[in-house]
Amino acid sequence: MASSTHTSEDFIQGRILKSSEPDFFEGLKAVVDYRGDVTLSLVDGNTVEGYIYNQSLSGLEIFPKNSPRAISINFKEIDSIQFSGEDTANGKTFDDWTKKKEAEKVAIKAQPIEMA
Amino acid sequence: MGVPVSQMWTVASYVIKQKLKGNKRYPLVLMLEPLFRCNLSCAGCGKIQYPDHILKRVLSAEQCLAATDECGAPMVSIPGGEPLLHPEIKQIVEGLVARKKYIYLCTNAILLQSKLHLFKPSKYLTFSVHMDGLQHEHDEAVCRDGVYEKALGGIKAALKEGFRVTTNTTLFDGAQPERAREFFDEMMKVGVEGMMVSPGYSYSKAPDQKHFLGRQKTNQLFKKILFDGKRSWKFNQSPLFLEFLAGTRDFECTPWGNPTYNIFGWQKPCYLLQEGYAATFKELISDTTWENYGRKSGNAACQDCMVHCGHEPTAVDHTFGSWNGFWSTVKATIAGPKILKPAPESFEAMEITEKKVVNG
Ligand code: SF4
Ligand code: SF4
Repeated sequence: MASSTHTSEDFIQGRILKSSEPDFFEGLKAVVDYRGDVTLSLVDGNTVEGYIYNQSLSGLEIFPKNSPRAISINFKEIDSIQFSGEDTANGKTFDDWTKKKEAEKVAIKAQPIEMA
Repeated sequence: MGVPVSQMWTVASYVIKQKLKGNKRYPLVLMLEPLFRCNLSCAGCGKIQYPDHILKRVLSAEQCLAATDECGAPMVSIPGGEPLLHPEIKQIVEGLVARKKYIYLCTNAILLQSKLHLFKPSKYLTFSVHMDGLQHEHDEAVCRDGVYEKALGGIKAALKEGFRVTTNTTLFDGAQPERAREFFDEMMKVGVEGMMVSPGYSYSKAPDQKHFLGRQKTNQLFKKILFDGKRSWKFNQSPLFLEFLAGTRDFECTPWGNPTYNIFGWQKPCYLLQEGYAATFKELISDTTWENYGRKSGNAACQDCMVHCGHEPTAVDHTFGSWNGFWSTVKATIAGPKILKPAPESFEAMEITEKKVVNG
């Protein structure tokens, strides 16, 4: 198999992976790895929005956003996959904490010595 | 109080039975993740980054108990997320106690005091409280001020009511050995049954990617922490695993030893990596290409991993796999784990650079 031309940076929120792309099956790895919701556009015109957590031999396993149960969708049914939801693993929380701590340190340093 | 003899006996007889049956791949601790939701967002955690509708989903008590029966491991660890947020945590624990499973309910203890009334003290139930060090270190690791004090309050309340309580500590690059030793003293003073330590795993999804430890650094850090360790320190884990952390001995990973079950199914291959899910435990064991994991496999994700969920089962298997393993464990239990003297700082830097060149 030819090696993929994709890098992980290709798969950010908003990206659409078409089933007609030559690297579609390579791109599926990023779909399963993505910690946000995606929207599947199916060949019959329907869409399914949800979290994809597994790839089987025949298709993708997804928890649709508004359904209590997971479903499987066959590769043949998929027209395209959009990385539609926010990637929840984008490091925001830790950055916020680091910024807060830095601000506290700066504030302490700025205090007159007798107050610190 | 140490680990009850009944627990040691249960584990020993289970492992020996597996050996006699010739079962090469047996589970020791089921990692049961009934939900991913948590009331904290720790910097080194790669478990909670999911869309809201996934965080709201839980395994039912029935699903948890069915997975426990399917797996058959004698011990069940309940991490998460925060298990005390689960609406059926009482039923899950009761069902596991009824099955005589030794449970480690892993909690950040923010809710421990307020939820203690749901549980009854039992030799089968241990609260394993997430404590990454003394106040400064812990609050920093969990990215919220005041959590250390809250957790300490929970620990004290649980001990007062007669529950078994241990601590679990994850150490990252930059950890101060002296502070870790002070922390051990403090936890022993508080009266926990034992402590568990592990280096952090570099989850690709964790917010903080800068502070995960490489293998040599892990060895150096644990040597410094554990060398000349105090007799008063009690660890709720295999002494051979501690020797492994400090570089006295080497172990390969046993990824099937701590199988993970959550809302997605049986996680392949281990608690840390997510390379697909199996619908049944049997399928997990038979369909995972185990040769692709562990340090020897060359898998990049495994090279720096020394985490307890992969290597502690190896230590336990080693104990019951040979007389040598058994006697090493007995000796280390009586005399303390064998920890080599740490190299002086200047040599240490050289040692790490040299090893990198050899490996590179
Ligand atoms: S308390 Fe545990 S589950 Fe919650 S964010 Fe921290 S490490 Fe993750
Ligand atoms: S070495 Fe670590 S990451 Fe690799 S399989 Fe074992 S536990 Fe998982």
